Amino acid sequence: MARPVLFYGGLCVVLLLLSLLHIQKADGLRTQVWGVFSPVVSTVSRPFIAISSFFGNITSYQKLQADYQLLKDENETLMVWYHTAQLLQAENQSLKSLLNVQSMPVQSFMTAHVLSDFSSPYVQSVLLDVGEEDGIVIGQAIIADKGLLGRVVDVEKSISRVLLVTDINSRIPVMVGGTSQKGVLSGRNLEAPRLEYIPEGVALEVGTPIVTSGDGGMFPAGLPVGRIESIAGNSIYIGLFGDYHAVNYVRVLERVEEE
Amino acid sequence: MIDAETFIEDSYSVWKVLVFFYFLIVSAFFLDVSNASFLFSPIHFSFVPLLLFIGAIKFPKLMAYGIAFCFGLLTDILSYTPIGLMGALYLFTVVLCRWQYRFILAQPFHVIWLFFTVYWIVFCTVVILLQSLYARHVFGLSSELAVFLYGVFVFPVLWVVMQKAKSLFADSDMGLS
Repeated sequence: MARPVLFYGGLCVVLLLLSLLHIQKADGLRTQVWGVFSPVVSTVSRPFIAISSFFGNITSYQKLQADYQLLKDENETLMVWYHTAQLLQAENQSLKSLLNVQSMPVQSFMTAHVLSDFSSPYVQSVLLDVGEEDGIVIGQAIIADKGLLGRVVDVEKSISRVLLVTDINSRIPVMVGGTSQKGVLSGRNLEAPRLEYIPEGVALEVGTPIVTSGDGGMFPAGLPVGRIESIAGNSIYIGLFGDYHAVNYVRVLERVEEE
Repeated sequence: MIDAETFIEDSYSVWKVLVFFYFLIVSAFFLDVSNASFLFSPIHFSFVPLLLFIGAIKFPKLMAYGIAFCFGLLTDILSYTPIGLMGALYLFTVVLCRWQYRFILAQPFHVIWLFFTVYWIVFCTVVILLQSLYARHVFGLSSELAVFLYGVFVFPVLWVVMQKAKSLFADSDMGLS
């Protein structure tokens, strides 16, 4: 019993020490191994996704009537805003022409399937089934449903890894909506990341939207991120728009052309 | 003289147990690393350490140290945990169970459950400590509290399942102890 235990135990100690020293080659190895395993994992997860969709459809059928009424009311409100938005867009365009403002490039996107979700108290990360051969590059923004989900941090031939905005290593330059106040959104490995580097004395209200500022060229400016959920002393917590629980499909933003 | 018919029947029973047990472990492994963990939301829970613990007691000869180490290493690589963490913990699980095998087998179930609970406390604590070292951030006990409770309450269910499987596939130990 002693010899194999000592061998494997010694190997574990060496590997752990190398991990704790953050040897960067480990991340490349992980992504390459994922490249090998991704077809199997994708196949294995399909029945579970089908089961989850089945139960999801049952529960959504139950609240169908309530959802219908809610959507009907929301549609009436949105129609009013649609006409207002058209007037504002025309006014915006004429002002831009008068001031000779340089237009922002148009954002196009690609849809990707979430292959695996590593979200845990220690890591907030997902794996996508698109990679280098699909044109994915490190740093691209990932949008889920209604808001920013994260960014691409690792790319292999056919898969890529996304660091969620809730991850402890995530830092995103953002702006408080309706003001020019900039800050940094810091992940805490919990659902509500913290808004930091806001000067003291700045009055903020719960419910104020937060968008990306575009600083540093990390993300395009104006991407919806979330709303101020709570303010406790000097700590401001953000409720995200993007729902990263059981996300199956996401959008990968790419810059394509200028207007 | 070895009875050929008995030998073939015994070998067939052993193979049935082997296939069933490893099918369970491999399924639990892929469930752990795939997108299917949301079925057990809001936490990310793995059945693999529980299956290794029970397997090392029920079928000790099936649980080679190298296999436990390899499952752990692969879990580390695919789950973005520090490489070597789960390898060491899965190895520790099998070593502990094989070391205390005779003591565990002689105990009633509630003592075995208590033994598992103490082991699970050590397991969860080591995970928190090493993850904190790796991320250079102090994670609280609440990080593993839900996983700890899940493990403690799922253990009896898995124990009964493995007990039934063993009696279903083999009338005796078939040399697996």
